[in-house]
Amino acid sequence: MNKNFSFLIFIGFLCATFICAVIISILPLGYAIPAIILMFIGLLLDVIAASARFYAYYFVPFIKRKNNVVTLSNEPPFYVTASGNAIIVRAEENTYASVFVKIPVYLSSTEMSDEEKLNFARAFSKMITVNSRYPMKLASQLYYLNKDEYIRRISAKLNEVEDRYDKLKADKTTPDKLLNRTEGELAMWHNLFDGVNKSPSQNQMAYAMISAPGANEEEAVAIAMQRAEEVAAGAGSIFGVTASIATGEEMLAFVEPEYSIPPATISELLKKG
Amino acid sequence: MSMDEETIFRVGITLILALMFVSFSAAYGPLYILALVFFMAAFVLIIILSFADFVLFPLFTRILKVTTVPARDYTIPKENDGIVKYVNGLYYATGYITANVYNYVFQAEQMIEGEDTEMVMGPDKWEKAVMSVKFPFKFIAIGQAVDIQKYRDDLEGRRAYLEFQYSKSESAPNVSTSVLDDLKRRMRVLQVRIDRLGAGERPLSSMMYIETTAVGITLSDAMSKLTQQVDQLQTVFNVFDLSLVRVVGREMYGLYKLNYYIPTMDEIISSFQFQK
Repeated sequence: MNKNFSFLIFIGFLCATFICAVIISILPLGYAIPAIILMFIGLLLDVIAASARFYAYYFVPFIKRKNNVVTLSNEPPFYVTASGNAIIVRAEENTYASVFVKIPVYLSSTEMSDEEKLNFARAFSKMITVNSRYPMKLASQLYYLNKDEYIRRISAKLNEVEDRYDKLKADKTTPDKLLNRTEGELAMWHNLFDGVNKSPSQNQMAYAMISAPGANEEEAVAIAMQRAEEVAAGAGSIFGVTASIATGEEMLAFVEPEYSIPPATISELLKKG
Repeated sequence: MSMDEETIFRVGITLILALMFVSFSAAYGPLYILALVFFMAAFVLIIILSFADFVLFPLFTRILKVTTVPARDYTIPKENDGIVKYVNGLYYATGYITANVYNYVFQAEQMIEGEDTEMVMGPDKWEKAVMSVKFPFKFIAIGQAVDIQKYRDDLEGRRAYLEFQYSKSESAPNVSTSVLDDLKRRMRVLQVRIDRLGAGERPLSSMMYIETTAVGITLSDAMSKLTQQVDQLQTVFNVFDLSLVRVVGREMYGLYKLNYYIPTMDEIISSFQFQK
């Protein structure tokens, strides 16, 4: 909500409060009850004025609420650009574009010396201050992997090996060595298939989010992409990795909850209660 | 006008107006007591709304049983402690916890001695914490570098003042070694900060928090799982010696909006004044 709008509401309610105070001051002494009622109203307006600092955005939707549901917006929170590499938000007078940069840091503290750990911790603050012209979000996200495709591949491979094994077994001329090897391969795929279904697999990914306002979508996206490329280059030099701009579902996993907990994983979670 | 000045300005004006009512009611005899009660109630409400609105707003929505729709498919239940997305027949509840890592970033209010030891332990603690969490979460830091020259001038000014104090204490007739040691330590701390600026680090204006999402087949199921996850994260991240407070109300809505775009750092700091 616009800061000026919030201030306007504050001033409006203050004026109403002041009017109540003036009326009380000019009321004859015999009007004690109306004076107290006016005082109550005035103080209530005064409290509402104080709340306008943070809650101006809530006033109008609250008054217009239906069935105790206050609707701030009925629009989706963002739109994905046609190119799928940025999200667009219309907030107040501006159009904002946000771009996500993946920072694949595959380092474990168990492999680091004390000096490396210190440098790594300092790299974190260097990364967040990589650019002083605008704020940046740096996040480390732990999310469930979408194993649908992986499970499908293992399942297809398992079926293929099972078919091969059945054919070899039916063929009396098959050498024992080949049959045993195929049996071993079949056991391996079975184990892999059982293992992958046992628990949800998680992945950790660091990313930076960069936003830029613009007069229109194209301008905002162009500025945000330019900033994101600068941040990607900075991340590359600080952590020594190849940072890249996230697109499509990869990007949505940083924004939308259903992409960080894929439906395939939910059935496993629900089974476990 | 900075946000703190703005708060004081608004609180001042509203309280002066409230006081006007009390002074006018003095003429109404016994009703003066009632007027005082109204004034006290208004005074408390104004102070809470200005300095701890996260206490009052969830109470307000709970009493009125008001749910909020911040965007399509999203709902904020009346408790105001999570944001729920309903999609594909499932409820995804997201909650937030404050987690400012003061000891591990440049912008510590008071640099502690042995900070390097703390920073060395940081990656180990982080890895152990992440390994013990079995559900999705994000650790998020939003920051922007502040003007280095201004920061350096401030540090150098403070160091010069300490040096002056040190030389004055040293030449005093009753020299206290503890005072001198303390001044030396404070000068050393400032020097380390100045050296770190020289090594390329930048002072930082930042906000940090944790976001976690739970999924359920009903709204209450998702919310109760979210509460469990929040509790677990608060336990796990306690090793960092952080202030881990569950974010509720208006500030939670603000954090939700930060998922989609980042406004200026001034706007962020002014919106998240109290649960940082």
